[in-house]
Amino acid sequence: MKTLFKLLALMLITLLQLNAQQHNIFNKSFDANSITTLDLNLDGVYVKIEESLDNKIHFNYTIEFDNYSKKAIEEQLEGINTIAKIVDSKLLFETFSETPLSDVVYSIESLHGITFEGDYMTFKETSEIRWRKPKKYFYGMNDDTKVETLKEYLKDLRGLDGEGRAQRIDSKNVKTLKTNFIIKIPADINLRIRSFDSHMTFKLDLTGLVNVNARNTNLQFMSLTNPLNNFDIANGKFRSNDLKGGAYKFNHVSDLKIASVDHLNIDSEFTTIIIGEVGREVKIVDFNGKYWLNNFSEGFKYFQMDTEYSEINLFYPEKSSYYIETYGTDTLHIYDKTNFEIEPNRKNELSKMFVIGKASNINKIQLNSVHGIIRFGKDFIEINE
Amino acid sequence: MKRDIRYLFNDEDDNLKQLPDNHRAEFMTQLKKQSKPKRKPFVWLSVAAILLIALTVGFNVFNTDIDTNKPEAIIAQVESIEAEYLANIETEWQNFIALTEDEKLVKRFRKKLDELDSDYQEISVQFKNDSNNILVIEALVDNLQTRLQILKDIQKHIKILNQNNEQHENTI
Repeated sequence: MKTLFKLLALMLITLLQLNAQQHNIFNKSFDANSITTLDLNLDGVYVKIEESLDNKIHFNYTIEFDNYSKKAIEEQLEGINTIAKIVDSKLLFETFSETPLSDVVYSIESLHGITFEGDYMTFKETSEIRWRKPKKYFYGMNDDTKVETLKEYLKDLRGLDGEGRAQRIDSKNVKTLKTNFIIKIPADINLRIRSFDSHMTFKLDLTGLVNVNARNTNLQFMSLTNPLNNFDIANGKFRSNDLKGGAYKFNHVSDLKIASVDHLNIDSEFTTIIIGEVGREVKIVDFNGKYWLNNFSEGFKYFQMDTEYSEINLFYPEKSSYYIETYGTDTLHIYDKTNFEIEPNRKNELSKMFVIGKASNINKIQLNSVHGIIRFGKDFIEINE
Repeated sequence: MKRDIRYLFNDEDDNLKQLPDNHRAEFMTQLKKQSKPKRKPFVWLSVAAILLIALTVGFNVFNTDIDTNKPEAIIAQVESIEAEYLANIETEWQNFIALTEDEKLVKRFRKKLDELDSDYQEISVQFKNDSNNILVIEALVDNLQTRLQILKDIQKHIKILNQNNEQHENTI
Protein backbone atom coordinates (compact mmCIF):
# COMPACT_ATOMS: atom_id res chain seq x y z
CA MET A 1 0.00 0.00 0.00
CA LYS A 2 2.87 2.29 0.82
CA THR A 3 4.35 1.75 -2.65
CA LEU A 4 0.99 2.56 -4.27
CA PHE A 5 0.77 5.74 -2.23
CA LYS A 6 4.29 6.78 -3.22
CA LEU A 7 3.57 6.09 -6.89
CA LEU A 8 0.36 8.10 -6.80
CA ALA A 9 2.02 10.95 -4.93
CA LEU A 10 4.84 10.98 -7.49
CA MET A 11 2.34 11.01 -10.35
CA LEU A 12 0.44 13.87 -8.78
CA ILE A 13 3.55 15.95 -8.28
CA THR A 14 4.78 15.21 -11.82
CA LEU A 15 1.42 16.05 -13.37
CA LEU A 16 1.15 19.31 -11.47
CA GLN A 17 4.63 20.26 -12.63
CA LEU A 18 3.65 19.64 -16.24
CA ASN A 19 1.49 22.74 -16.17
CA ALA A 20 3.71 24.97 -14.01
CA GLN A 21 7.43 24.60 -14.50
CA GLN A 22 10.17 26.68 -12.99
CA HIS A 23 13.53 26.97 -14.74
CA ASN A 24 16.76 28.43 -13.48
CA ILE A 25 18.31 30.88 -15.89
CA PHE A 26 21.25 32.25 -13.90
CA ASN A 27 22.17 31.87 -10.24
CA LYS A 28 25.58 33.06 -9.15
CA SER A 29 27.28 35.30 -6.58
CA PHE A 30 30.42 37.44 -6.91
CA ASP A 31 32.60 38.96 -4.22
CA ALA A 32 32.19 42.76 -4.54
CA ASN A 33 35.45 43.61 -2.74
CA SER A 34 37.42 43.64 -5.97
CA ILE A 35 34.58 44.98 -8.18
CA THR A 36 34.10 48.75 -8.51
CA THR A 37 31.60 48.77 -11.40
CA LEU A 38 28.69 46.56 -12.37
CA ASP A 39 28.08 46.79 -16.11
CA LEU A 40 24.57 45.62 -16.99
CA ASN A 41 23.61 45.05 -20.59
CA LEU A 42 19.93 44.09 -20.69
CA ASP A 43 17.56 43.30 -23.53
CA GLY A 44 14.01 42.11 -22.96
CA VAL A 45 14.43 41.62 -19.24
CA TYR A 46 12.37 42.26 -16.12
CA VAL A 47 14.61 42.69 -13.08
CA LYS A 48 14.44 43.93 -9.50
CA ILE A 49 17.58 45.30 -7.87
CA GLU A 50 17.86 45.03 -4.11
CA GLU A 51 20.51 45.89 -1.54
CA SER A 52 23.13 43.25 -0.77
CA LEU A 53 24.14 43.21 2.88
CA ASP A 54 27.09 40.80 2.59
CA ASN A 55 29.21 42.83 0.13
CA LYS A 56 28.53 40.34 -2.64
CA ILE A 57 26.71 40.72 -5.93
CA HIS A 58 24.02 38.07 -6.26
CA PHE A 59 22.12 37.05 -9.38
CA ASN A 60 19.00 34.97 -8.95
CA TYR A 61 17.08 34.52 -12.19
CA THR A 62 14.28 31.98 -12.67
CA ILE A 63 11.30 31.72 -15.00
CA GLU A 64 8.04 29.90 -14.37
CA PHE A 65 5.86 28.62 -17.21
CA ASP A 66 2.18 27.87 -16.91
CA ASN A 67 0.11 26.20 -19.66
CA TYR A 68 3.17 26.03 -21.91
CA SER A 69 3.94 22.88 -23.90
CA LYS A 70 7.37 21.31 -23.46
CA LYS A 71 8.35 22.47 -26.95
CA ALA A 72 7.23 26.05 -26.28
CA ILE A 73 9.23 26.11 -23.04
CA GLU A 74 12.33 24.88 -24.85
CA GLU A 75 11.89 27.56 -27.50
CA GLN A 76 11.55 30.26 -24.86
CA LEU A 77 14.61 29.08 -22.97
CA GLU A 78 16.67 28.84 -26.15
CA GLY A 79 15.83 32.50 -26.80
CA ILE A 80 17.41 33.61 -23.51
CA ASN A 81 21.17 34.11 -23.38
CA THR A 82 23.06 35.20 -20.30
CA ILE A 83 26.76 35.90 -19.79
CA ALA A 84 28.71 37.13 -16.74
CA LYS A 85 32.43 37.82 -16.64
CA ILE A 86 34.89 39.92 -14.67
CA VAL A 87 37.17 42.22 -16.66
CA ASP A 88 39.69 44.08 -14.45
CA SER A 89 37.59 45.59 -11.66
CA LYS A 90 34.37 45.46 -13.67
CA LEU A 91 31.68 42.80 -13.56
CA LEU A 92 30.02 42.57 -16.95
CA PHE A 93 26.58 40.97 -17.03
CA GLU A 94 24.61 40.58 -20.24
CA THR A 95 21.23 39.00 -20.75
CA PHE A 96 19.06 38.88 -23.82
CA SER A 97 15.59 37.49 -24.36
CA GLU A 98 14.07 37.15 -27.83
CA THR A 99 10.64 37.62 -26.26
CA PRO A 100 10.52 40.78 -24.14
CA LEU A 101 9.79 39.68 -20.58
CA SER A 102 7.75 41.33 -17.88
CA ASP A 103 7.14 39.95 -14.40
CA VAL A 104 4.12 38.25 -15.95
CA VAL A 105 3.69 37.77 -19.69
CA TYR A 106 0.39 36.50 -21.02
CA SER A 107 -0.07 34.89 -24.40
CA ILE A 108 -3.63 34.41 -25.50
CA GLU A 109 -4.57 31.22 -27.30
CA SER A 110 -7.56 31.65 -29.53
CA LEU A 111 -8.45 29.38 -32.42
CA HIS A 112 -9.40 32.12 -34.83
CA GLY A 113 -7.56 35.18 -33.58
CA ILE A 114 -8.17 38.03 -31.17
CA THR A 115 -9.75 41.43 -31.49
CA PHE A 116 -9.78 44.65 -29.51
CA GLU A 117 -12.86 46.20 -28.03
CA GLY A 118 -13.22 49.39 -26.12
CA ASP A 119 -11.13 52.51 -26.19
CA TYR A 120 -7.91 51.77 -28.02
CA MET A 121 -8.36 54.88 -30.12
CA THR A 122 -9.75 57.31 -27.59
CA PHE A 123 -7.84 60.27 -26.27
CA LYS A 124 -7.39 62.15 -23.06
CA GLU A 125 -10.02 64.47 -21.61
CA THR A 126 -9.51 68.08 -22.59
CA SER A 127 -10.76 69.75 -19.43
CA GLU A 128 -9.63 69.07 -15.91
CA ILE A 129 -8.58 70.50 -12.59
CA ARG A 130 -5.33 69.34 -11.05
CA TRP A 131 -4.58 69.92 -7.40
CA ARG A 132 -1.16 70.58 -5.99
CA LYS A 133 0.40 67.36 -4.77
CA PRO A 134 2.81 67.18 -1.83
CA LYS A 135 6.23 65.54 -2.14
CA LYS A 136 5.21 62.59 0.05
CA TYR A 137 2.43 61.78 -2.41
CA PHE A 138 5.14 60.92 -4.96
CA TYR A 139 7.02 58.68 -2.54
CA GLY A 140 3.85 56.65 -2.04
CA MET A 141 3.01 56.60 -5.72
CA ASN A 142 6.51 55.63 -6.88
CA ASP A 143 6.47 52.66 -4.53
CA ASP A 144 2.96 51.74 -5.62
CA THR A 145 2.67 48.34 -7.22
CA LYS A 146 -1.04 48.15 -7.82
CA VAL A 147 -1.91 47.40 -11.42
CA GLU A 148 -4.70 45.65 -13.27
CA THR A 149 -5.82 42.11 -12.58
CA LEU A 150 -5.92 39.53 -15.36
CA LYS A 151 -9.68 40.07 -15.56
CA GLU A 152 -9.20 43.81 -16.06
CA TYR A 153 -6.40 43.13 -18.48
CA LEU A 154 -8.56 40.97 -20.69
CA LYS A 155 -11.44 43.45 -20.55
CA ASP A 156 -10.80 44.97 -23.99
CA LEU A 157 -9.62 41.82 -25.70
CA ARG A 158 -11.90 39.28 -27.37
CA GLY A 159 -11.25 35.92 -29.02
CA LEU A 160 -12.81 35.27 -32.41
CA ASP A 161 -14.84 32.13 -33.07
CA GLY A 162 -15.05 30.29 -36.41
CA GLU A 163 -17.62 32.74 -37.75
CA GLY A 164 -15.65 35.82 -36.76
CA ARG A 165 -17.78 36.60 -33.72
CA ALA A 166 -16.02 38.14 -30.74
CA GLN A 167 -16.15 36.05 -27.56
CA ARG A 168 -14.82 36.70 -24.08
CA ILE A 169 -11.42 35.13 -23.55
CA ASP A 170 -11.34 32.38 -20.96
CA SER A 171 -8.39 32.84 -18.62
CA LYS A 172 -7.67 29.11 -19.07
CA ASN A 173 -6.68 29.91 -22.65
CA VAL A 174 -3.97 32.27 -21.50
CA LYS A 175 -0.40 31.01 -21.23
CA THR A 176 1.52 32.60 -18.38
CA LEU A 177 5.23 33.24 -18.09
CA LYS A 178 6.45 34.62 -14.77
CA THR A 179 9.92 36.09 -14.36
CA ASN A 180 11.65 36.23 -11.02
CA PHE A 181 14.96 37.97 -11.51
CA ILE A 182 16.66 39.68 -8.57
CA ILE A 183 20.12 41.23 -8.53
CA LYS A 184 21.49 42.19 -5.12
CA ILE A 185 24.18 44.89 -5.07
CA PRO A 186 26.00 47.07 -2.52
CA ALA A 187 24.46 50.60 -2.49
CA ASP A 188 27.77 52.31 -3.28
CA ILE A 189 28.79 50.26 -6.33
CA ASN A 190 29.10 52.13 -9.63
CA LEU A 191 26.54 51.11 -12.24
CA ARG A 192 26.78 51.24 -16.00
CA ILE A 193 23.44 50.24 -17.53
CA ARG A 194 22.45 49.74 -21.14
CA SER A 195 18.92 48.46 -21.49
CA PHE A 196 16.44 47.84 -24.25
CA ASP A 197 12.82 46.63 -23.99
CA SER A 198 13.32 45.98 -20.30
CA HIS A 199 11.98 46.79 -16.86
CA MET A 200 14.20 47.68 -13.88
CA THR A 201 12.93 48.35 -10.36
CA PHE A 202 15.50 49.55 -7.83
CA LYS A 203 14.61 48.85 -4.23
CA LEU A 204 17.57 50.67 -2.70
CA ASP A 205 19.02 54.18 -2.52
CA LEU A 206 22.03 54.43 -4.82
CA THR A 207 25.02 56.50 -3.76
CA GLY A 208 27.51 55.25 -6.40
CA LEU A 209 27.89 56.65 -9.90
CA VAL A 210 25.01 55.60 -12.15
CA ASN A 211 25.30 55.87 -15.90
CA VAL A 212 22.22 54.80 -17.89
CA ASN A 213 21.34 54.49 -21.56
CA ALA A 214 17.84 53.06 -21.81
CA ARG A 215 15.39 52.62 -24.65
CA ASN A 216 11.83 51.32 -24.31
CA THR A 217 12.62 50.57 -20.71
CA ASN A 218 10.55 51.11 -17.59
CA LEU A 219 12.74 52.43 -14.79
CA GLN A 220 11.77 52.83 -11.16
CA PHE A 221 14.26 54.22 -8.64
CA MET A 222 14.42 55.13 -5.00
CA SER A 223 16.93 57.99 -4.52
CA LEU A 224 19.95 58.76 -6.69
CA THR A 225 22.50 61.08 -5.14
CA ASN A 226 25.77 60.93 -7.07
CA PRO A 227 26.54 64.37 -8.62
CA LEU A 228 28.04 62.73 -11.72
CA ASN A 229 25.04 60.55 -12.58
CA ASN A 230 24.20 60.56 -16.26
CA PHE A 231 20.92 59.32 -17.74
CA ASP A 232 19.81 59.14 -21.36
CA ILE A 233 16.30 57.70 -21.56
CA ALA A 234 14.25 57.29 -24.75
CA ASN A 235 10.67 56.02 -24.66
CA GLY A 236 9.64 53.80 -21.76
CA LYS A 237 8.71 55.06 -18.31
CA PHE A 238 10.58 56.67 -15.45
CA ARG A 239 9.72 57.08 -11.79
CA SER A 240 11.95 58.12 -8.96
CA ASN A 241 11.96 59.46 -5.44
CA ASP A 242 14.75 61.99 -4.79
CA LEU A 243 17.19 62.90 -7.55
CA LYS A 244 20.18 64.90 -6.38
CA GLY A 245 22.90 65.81 -8.85
CA GLY A 246 23.62 64.69 -12.38
CA ALA A 247 22.24 65.16 -15.88
CA TYR A 248 19.04 63.59 -17.18
CA LYS A 249 17.91 63.39 -20.77
CA PHE A 250 14.34 62.27 -21.48
CA ASN A 251 12.99 61.72 -24.98
CA HIS A 252 9.32 60.78 -25.14
CA VAL A 253 9.21 59.16 -21.73
CA SER A 254 5.80 58.52 -20.22
CA ASP A 255 4.58 58.30 -16.65
CA LEU A 256 7.54 60.42 -15.56
CA LYS A 257 7.09 61.27 -11.90
CA ILE A 258 9.85 62.48 -9.60
CA ALA A 259 9.36 63.29 -5.91
CA SER A 260 12.15 65.90 -5.78
CA VAL A 261 15.00 67.28 -7.88
CA ASP A 262 18.07 69.11 -6.62
CA HIS A 263 21.34 70.31 -8.20
CA LEU A 264 20.66 68.76 -11.60
CA ASN A 265 19.99 69.44 -15.26
CA ILE A 266 17.14 68.00 -17.28
CA ASP A 267 17.02 68.02 -21.07
CA SER A 268 13.66 66.76 -22.32
CA GLU A 269 11.41 66.53 -25.36
CA PHE A 270 7.95 65.09 -26.08
CA THR A 271 7.63 64.21 -22.41
CA THR A 272 5.23 65.00 -19.59
CA ILE A 273 7.16 65.44 -16.34
CA ILE A 274 5.58 65.75 -12.92
CA ILE A 275 7.87 66.93 -10.13
CA GLY A 276 6.90 67.07 -6.47
CA GLU A 277 9.48 69.61 -5.30
CA VAL A 278 12.15 71.64 -7.08
CA GLY A 279 15.28 72.23 -5.03
CA ARG A 280 18.42 74.31 -5.55
CA GLU A 281 20.28 74.82 -8.81
CA VAL A 282 17.90 73.06 -11.14
CA LYS A 283 17.94 73.85 -14.84
CA ILE A 284 15.54 72.42 -17.43
CA VAL A 285 15.66 72.65 -21.22
CA ASP A 286 12.53 71.35 -22.94
CA PHE A 287 10.91 70.98 -26.34
CA ASN A 288 7.18 70.25 -26.64
CA GLY A 289 6.90 68.79 -23.17
CA LYS A 290 4.41 69.29 -20.35
CA TYR A 291 5.75 70.15 -16.92
CA TRP A 292 3.96 70.08 -13.59
CA LEU A 293 5.98 71.73 -10.82
CA ASN A 294 4.12 71.16 -7.58
CA ASN A 295 6.34 73.03 -5.15
CA PHE A 296 9.80 74.47 -4.45
CA SER A 297 12.07 73.72 -1.52
CA GLU A 298 12.79 76.27 1.17
CA GLY A 299 15.47 78.68 -0.11
CA PHE A 300 15.64 77.15 -3.60
CA LYS A 301 17.46 80.32 -4.77
CA TYR A 302 17.36 79.95 -8.55
CA PHE A 303 15.41 77.85 -11.00
CA GLN A 304 15.54 78.19 -14.79
CA MET A 305 13.60 76.67 -17.68
CA ASP A 306 14.32 77.20 -21.38
CA THR A 307 11.39 75.92 -23.41
CA GLU A 308 9.93 75.81 -26.90
CA TYR A 309 6.37 74.70 -27.66
CA SER A 310 6.09 73.59 -24.03
CA GLU A 311 3.43 73.76 -21.36
CA ILE A 312 4.57 74.79 -17.90
CA ASN A 313 2.17 74.32 -15.01
CA LEU A 314 3.65 75.97 -11.95
CA PHE A 315 2.30 76.01 -8.41
CA TYR A 316 3.66 78.98 -6.48
CA PRO A 317 6.37 78.14 -3.93
CA GLU A 318 4.78 77.54 -0.52
CA LYS A 319 7.94 77.48 1.60
CA SER A 320 9.71 80.65 0.45
CA SER A 321 9.00 84.12 -0.88
CA TYR A 322 9.87 84.35 -4.58
CA TYR A 323 10.24 86.35 -7.76
CA ILE A 324 8.99 84.91 -11.06
CA GLU A 325 10.00 86.29 -14.43
CA THR A 326 8.96 85.01 -17.85
CA TYR A 327 11.00 85.91 -20.91
CA GLY A 328 10.44 85.04 -24.57
CA THR A 329 7.72 85.46 -27.14
CA ASP A 330 4.41 84.02 -28.37
CA THR A 331 3.44 82.64 -24.99
CA LEU A 332 0.05 82.39 -23.35
CA HIS A 333 0.04 83.11 -19.62
CA ILE A 334 -2.86 81.92 -17.49
CA TYR A 335 -2.80 83.71 -14.18
CA ASP A 336 -5.66 84.13 -11.69
CA LYS A 337 -8.19 82.87 -14.27
CA THR A 338 -6.96 85.54 -16.70
CA ASN A 339 -5.42 84.71 -20.06
CA PHE A 340 -2.97 87.04 -21.64
CA GLU A 341 -0.86 86.39 -24.65
CA ILE A 342 2.51 87.81 -25.54
CA GLU A 343 2.32 87.85 -29.30
CA PRO A 344 5.24 87.15 -31.60
CA ASN A 345 6.61 90.31 -33.16
CA ARG A 346 7.78 90.48 -36.76
CA LYS A 347 11.42 89.84 -35.91
CA ASN A 348 10.53 87.15 -33.35
CA GLU A 349 12.57 89.04 -30.78
CA LEU A 350 12.51 87.86 -27.21
CA SER A 351 11.55 90.16 -24.36
CA LYS A 352 10.52 90.18 -20.72
CA MET A 353 6.87 89.07 -20.71
CA PHE A 354 5.61 88.85 -17.14
CA VAL A 355 6.77 89.23 -13.55
CA ILE A 356 5.44 88.29 -10.09
CA GLY A 357 7.11 89.64 -6.93
CA LYS A 358 10.14 91.83 -6.45
CA ALA A 359 13.28 91.36 -8.54
CA SER A 360 15.42 91.75 -5.42
CA ASN A 361 14.07 88.49 -3.92
CA ILE A 362 16.82 85.90 -3.41
CA ASN A 363 14.56 83.10 -4.73
CA LYS A 364 14.14 83.56 -8.45
CA ILE A 365 12.20 81.52 -11.02
CA GLN A 366 13.23 82.30 -14.59
CA LEU A 367 10.93 80.84 -17.26
CA ASN A 368 12.15 81.37 -20.82
CA SER A 369 9.44 80.38 -23.27
CA VAL A 370 8.86 80.53 -27.02
CA HIS A 371 5.48 79.38 -28.43
CA GLY A 372 4.53 78.22 -24.96
CA ILE A 373 1.71 78.04 -22.46
CA ILE A 374 2.39 78.88 -18.81
CA ARG A 375 -0.22 78.30 -16.13
CA PHE A 376 0.15 79.46 -12.55
CA GLY A 377 -1.81 78.14 -9.59
CA LYS A 378 -1.92 78.26 -5.81
CA ASP A 379 -3.85 75.15 -4.82
CA PHE A 380 -5.07 73.94 -8.21
CA ILE A 381 -4.61 74.55 -11.91
CA GLU A 382 -7.53 74.31 -14.28
CA ILE A 383 -6.97 73.27 -17.86
CA ASN A 384 -9.67 74.50 -20.20
CA GLU A 385 -8.81 73.88 -23.81
CA MET B 1 3.16 50.38 -23.18
CA LYS B 2 -0.39 51.46 -22.67
CA ARG B 3 -1.02 48.96 -19.96
CA ASP B 4 1.40 47.57 -17.53
CA ILE B 5 0.75 44.11 -16.20
CA ARG B 6 3.54 44.27 -13.69
CA TYR B 7 2.75 43.62 -10.06
CA LEU B 8 -0.40 41.80 -11.07
CA PHE B 9 -0.59 39.56 -8.08
CA ASN B 10 0.55 41.96 -5.39
CA ASP B 11 -2.99 42.68 -4.29
CA GLU B 12 -3.48 39.05 -3.53
CA ASP B 13 -0.67 39.16 -1.01
CA ASP B 14 -2.33 42.08 0.72
CA ASN B 15 -5.56 40.18 1.05
CA LEU B 16 -4.14 37.18 2.87
CA LYS B 17 -6.27 36.50 5.93
CA GLN B 18 -4.67 36.58 9.36
CA LEU B 19 -4.96 33.41 11.44
CA PRO B 20 -6.88 33.80 14.70
CA ASP B 21 -4.84 33.63 17.91
CA ASN B 22 -6.33 30.29 18.95
CA HIS B 23 -6.00 28.63 15.53
CA ARG B 24 -3.58 25.98 16.82
CA ALA B 25 -6.01 24.72 19.52
CA GLU B 26 -8.93 24.77 17.06
CA PHE B 27 -6.90 22.81 14.57
CA MET B 28 -6.01 20.11 17.14
CA THR B 29 -9.68 19.75 18.13
CA GLN B 30 -10.70 19.34 14.50
CA LEU B 31 -7.91 16.83 13.97
CA LYS B 32 -9.01 14.67 16.89
CA LYS B 33 -12.58 14.59 15.57
CA GLN B 34 -11.40 13.36 12.16
CA SER B 35 -8.66 10.97 13.27
CA LYS B 36 -10.76 7.76 13.19
CA PRO B 37 -9.24 5.17 10.80
CA LYS B 38 -11.11 4.61 7.56
CA ARG B 39 -11.43 1.31 5.73
CA LYS B 40 -9.83 2.26 2.43
CA PRO B 41 -7.78 5.42 2.98
CA PHE B 42 -6.34 5.52 -0.53
CA VAL B 43 -9.51 4.96 -2.56
CA TRP B 44 -10.28 8.68 -2.70
CA LEU B 45 -6.69 9.39 -3.60
CA SER B 46 -6.83 6.92 -6.51
CA VAL B 47 -10.05 8.49 -7.80
CA ALA B 48 -8.55 11.95 -7.44
CA ALA B 49 -5.38 10.90 -9.24
CA ILE B 50 -7.31 9.32 -12.15
CA LEU B 51 -9.49 12.39 -12.40
CA LEU B 52 -6.43 14.60 -12.35
CA ILE B 53 -4.71 12.50 -15.04
CA ALA B 54 -7.81 12.72 -17.24
CA LEU B 55 -8.12 16.45 -16.71
CA THR B 56 -4.43 17.12 -17.27
CA VAL B 57 -4.17 14.96 -20.38
CA GLY B 58 -7.35 16.53 -21.72
CA PHE B 59 -6.05 19.97 -20.94
CA ASN B 60 -2.71 19.28 -22.59
CA VAL B 61 -4.43 17.83 -25.68
CA PHE B 62 -6.62 20.91 -25.78
CA ASN B 63 -3.54 23.09 -25.54
CA THR B 64 -1.77 21.11 -28.26
CA ASP B 65 -4.71 21.75 -30.56
CA ILE B 66 -4.63 25.40 -29.69
CA ASP B 67 -0.89 25.60 -30.29
CA THR B 68 -1.55 24.78 -33.92
CA ASN B 69 -3.83 27.79 -34.35
CA LYS B 70 -3.33 30.10 -37.27
CA PRO B 71 -1.51 33.29 -36.30
CA GLU B 72 -2.54 34.80 -39.63
CA ALA B 73 -5.89 35.73 -38.10
CA ILE B 74 -4.21 37.71 -35.35
CA ILE B 75 -1.79 39.30 -37.79
CA ALA B 76 -4.70 40.32 -40.01
CA GLN B 77 -6.43 41.84 -37.01
CA VAL B 78 -3.39 43.91 -36.08
CA GLU B 79 -2.84 44.90 -39.70
CA SER B 80 -6.40 46.19 -39.82
CA ILE B 81 -5.78 48.30 -36.71
CA GLU B 82 -2.46 49.47 -38.17
CA ALA B 83 -4.15 50.58 -41.40
CA GLU B 84 -6.79 52.52 -39.48
CA TYR B 85 -4.16 54.27 -37.37
CA LEU B 86 -1.84 55.06 -40.27
CA ALA B 87 -4.71 56.66 -42.19
CA ASN B 88 -5.52 58.82 -39.15
CA ILE B 89 -1.84 59.68 -38.62
CA GLU B 90 -1.52 60.82 -42.25
CA THR B 91 -4.66 62.97 -41.92
CA GLU B 92 -3.35 64.56 -38.71
CA TRP B 93 0.07 65.12 -40.32
CA GLN B 94 -1.54 67.00 -43.22
CA ASN B 95 -3.61 69.06 -40.77
CA PHE B 96 -0.49 69.82 -38.76
CA ILE B 97 1.66 71.04 -41.66
CA ALA B 98 -1.25 73.15 -42.87
CA LEU B 99 -1.56 74.76 -39.43
CA THR B 100 2.03 75.88 -38.85
CA GLU B 101 4.55 77.94 -40.76
CA ASP B 102 7.41 76.97 -38.47
CA GLU B 103 9.66 74.80 -40.65
CA LYS B 104 11.91 73.89 -37.73
CA LEU B 105 8.91 72.54 -35.85
CA VAL B 106 7.75 70.48 -38.84
CA LYS B 107 11.26 69.10 -39.28
CA ARG B 108 11.51 68.13 -35.63
CA PHE B 109 8.16 66.34 -35.73
CA ARG B 110 9.11 64.56 -38.95
CA LYS B 111 12.25 63.29 -37.23
CA LYS B 112 10.26 62.13 -34.20
CA LEU B 113 7.69 60.32 -36.35
CA ASP B 114 10.47 58.64 -38.32
CA GLU B 115 12.05 57.44 -35.07
CA LEU B 116 8.72 56.02 -33.96
CA ASP B 117 8.24 54.34 -37.31
CA SER B 118 11.68 52.77 -37.01
CA ASP B 119 10.74 51.44 -33.55
CA TYR B 120 7.52 50.10 -35.03
CA GLN B 121 9.40 48.11 -37.66
CA GLU B 122 11.49 46.49 -34.90
CA ILE B 123 8.40 45.60 -32.86
CA SER B 124 6.75 44.21 -36.01
CA VAL B 125 9.58 41.68 -36.33
CA GLN B 126 8.96 40.58 -32.73
CA PHE B 127 5.24 40.35 -33.48
CA LYS B 128 5.82 38.08 -36.46
CA ASN B 129 7.87 35.76 -34.25
CA ASP B 130 5.49 35.85 -31.29
CA SER B 131 2.03 36.88 -32.51
CA ASN B 132 0.15 35.92 -29.35
CA ASN B 133 2.24 37.92 -26.89
CA ILE B 134 0.08 40.68 -25.42
CA LEU B 135 3.10 42.82 -24.54
CA VAL B 136 4.19 42.90 -28.17
CA ILE B 137 0.68 43.63 -29.47
CA GLU B 138 0.34 46.47 -26.97
CA ALA B 139 3.73 47.86 -27.94
CA LEU B 140 2.53 48.03 -31.55
CA VAL B 141 -0.73 49.78 -30.68
CA ASP B 142 1.03 52.07 -28.21
CA ASN B 143 3.52 53.15 -30.87
CA LEU B 144 0.73 54.05 -33.32
CA GLN B 145 -1.26 55.80 -30.61
CA THR B 146 1.80 57.85 -29.61
CA ARG B 147 2.27 59.14 -33.15
CA LEU B 148 -1.37 60.17 -33.35
CA GLN B 149 -1.34 61.68 -29.86
CA ILE B 150 1.73 63.91 -30.41
CA LEU B 151 0.24 65.22 -33.67
CA LYS B 152 -3.08 65.98 -31.98
CA ASP B 153 -1.35 67.59 -28.99
CA ILE B 154 0.83 69.95 -31.02
CA GLN B 155 -2.15 71.06 -33.12
CA LYS B 156 -4.11 71.76 -29.96
CA HIS B 157 -1.16 73.73 -28.61
CA ILE B 158 -0.84 75.85 -31.77
CA LYS B 159 -4.60 76.42 -31.94
CA ILE B 160 -4.68 77.69 -28.35
CA LEU B 161 -1.89 80.17 -29.14
CA ASN B 162 -3.48 81.26 -32.44
CA GLN B 163 -6.89 81.63 -30.84
CA ASN B 164 -5.55 83.95 -28.16
CA ASN B 165 -3.52 85.95 -30.70
CA GLU B 166 -6.66 86.48 -32.78
CA GLN B 167 -8.66 87.54 -29.71
CA HIS B 168 -5.90 89.99 -28.83
CA GLU B 169 -5.85 91.45 -32.36
CA ASN B 170 -9.64 91.82 -32.35
CA THR B 171 -9.47 93.64 -29.00
CA ILE B 172 -6.86 96.07 -30.40
